[in-house]
Amino acid sequence: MIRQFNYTKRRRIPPSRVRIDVNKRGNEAPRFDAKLDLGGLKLPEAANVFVEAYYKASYQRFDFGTVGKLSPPEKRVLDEVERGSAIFFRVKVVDRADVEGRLLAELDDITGSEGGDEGISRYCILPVNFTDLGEQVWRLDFTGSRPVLEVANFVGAEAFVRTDPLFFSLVYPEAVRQVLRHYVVDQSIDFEPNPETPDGMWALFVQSFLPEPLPADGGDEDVEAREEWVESAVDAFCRKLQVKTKLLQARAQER
Amino acid sequence: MAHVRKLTDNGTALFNEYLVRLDQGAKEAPPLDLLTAPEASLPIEGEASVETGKFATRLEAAQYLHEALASVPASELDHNPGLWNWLALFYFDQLCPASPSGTRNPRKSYRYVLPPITSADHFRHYYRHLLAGPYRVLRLHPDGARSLLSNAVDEAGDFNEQIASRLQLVTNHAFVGAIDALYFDAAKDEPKRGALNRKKPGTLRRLIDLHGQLDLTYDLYSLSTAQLLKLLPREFNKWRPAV
Repeated sequence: MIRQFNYTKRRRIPPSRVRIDVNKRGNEAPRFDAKLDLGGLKLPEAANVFVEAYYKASYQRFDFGTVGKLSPPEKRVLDEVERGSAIFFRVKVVDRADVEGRLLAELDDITGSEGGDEGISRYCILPVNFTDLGEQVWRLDFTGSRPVLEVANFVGAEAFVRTDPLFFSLVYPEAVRQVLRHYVVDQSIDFEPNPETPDGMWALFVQSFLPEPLPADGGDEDVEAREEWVESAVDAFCRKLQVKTKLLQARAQER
Repeated sequence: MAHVRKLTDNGTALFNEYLVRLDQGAKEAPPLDLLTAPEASLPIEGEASVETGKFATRLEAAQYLHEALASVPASELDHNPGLWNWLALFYFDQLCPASPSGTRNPRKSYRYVLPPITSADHFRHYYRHLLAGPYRVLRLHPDGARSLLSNAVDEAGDFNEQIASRLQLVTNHAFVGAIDALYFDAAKDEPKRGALNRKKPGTLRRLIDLHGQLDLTYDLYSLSTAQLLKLLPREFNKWRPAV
């Protein structure tokens, strides 16, 4: 069971206060814009604000001035971050007065909207990263703060993932199965719905189509019960989205 | 003296094929003709020349390349595999020396050939390249990172492997400064014995673990090395520099 304590009273910046847009530019490194609204959060005016971009081992940091005087840097090119399509961001507010370097507030695990999207950046529970996978077509990566669906970066891969019912029907149910197994069987976490954590967001997602609660974790029998719960969740997911029906309809249209 | 160029995709593929043949036991000299062949390499922007000197350490190699490449624009240097692959081929006899019998023992190919920037491996292996890695580390930490640069030029070393594979660590001045302060013996100009031990308290791997914990409370980039050292628990006392 994994629990997280917040001894330092670090605060979470409400997601509605942060909007990040990522502009892809062909083969060039992408550029980003961040709109931050930190007013009214009772943060010291002099506290420093940083935006960090990361994916796996790659990382880049940008100084955005202070809470009282936000000043985005002119160069906001993500040339040190892996060139897949998944880039995560975090916004940090850092103390300069009381305890130098202490984190006062943070919002982590933000995915940017791509240029042209409107509205607040939505939290994506399963970001897709197009990358070189050799002869594999897809796989899940669990090394980061949330699961990432890695897909081979062949020509047309983005359209295939976004719109092709074949990909959806064959990949997503299995991806859901693997993610749920990762959380509730391999990691044995409580899986409580919580909009502030990746597993909590997944729990909220499952709650939207499966009313059965997750069996408690205590022994071998409980593991079996959790595995069955995962299968029920995958089944409910497929029923809700009519996965097979939509696949068959798409195939009928092709003929 | 040779004018620095950059390997083309074709030149890089031929260099890679050579590495594969070496790995299979071939006793071949490096394909130095690729360095000037127009179908295998291209001129770079800016002027730079290099000589086939002998570097005692990664630091010496990095310092030399900084001077030699001073007038090359950043766009040619940063994340440009072609230039670094050309340099690795140029210095191949140092990076992968031949034994008296003529055989060579090449390491993983990314030590010599940077993956293209479109590959996920590019950023993962950038600091593992035997020339691009030390060059970048020295640029980030012109007065430090001795622990990461003290090895022979053909050995990246465990300090480099543990730190440079994580961009969040290798780009952090306070953290790299703390590594030098704790684990580098300036008098002997080499890392302290036992610093890489996997079991002893206060060693490098524990410091990396602790980074993950402190990172939840502090913005470690905002700290100086002295401030970071103050946050370390007693298990690190043995390694602290004498005041």
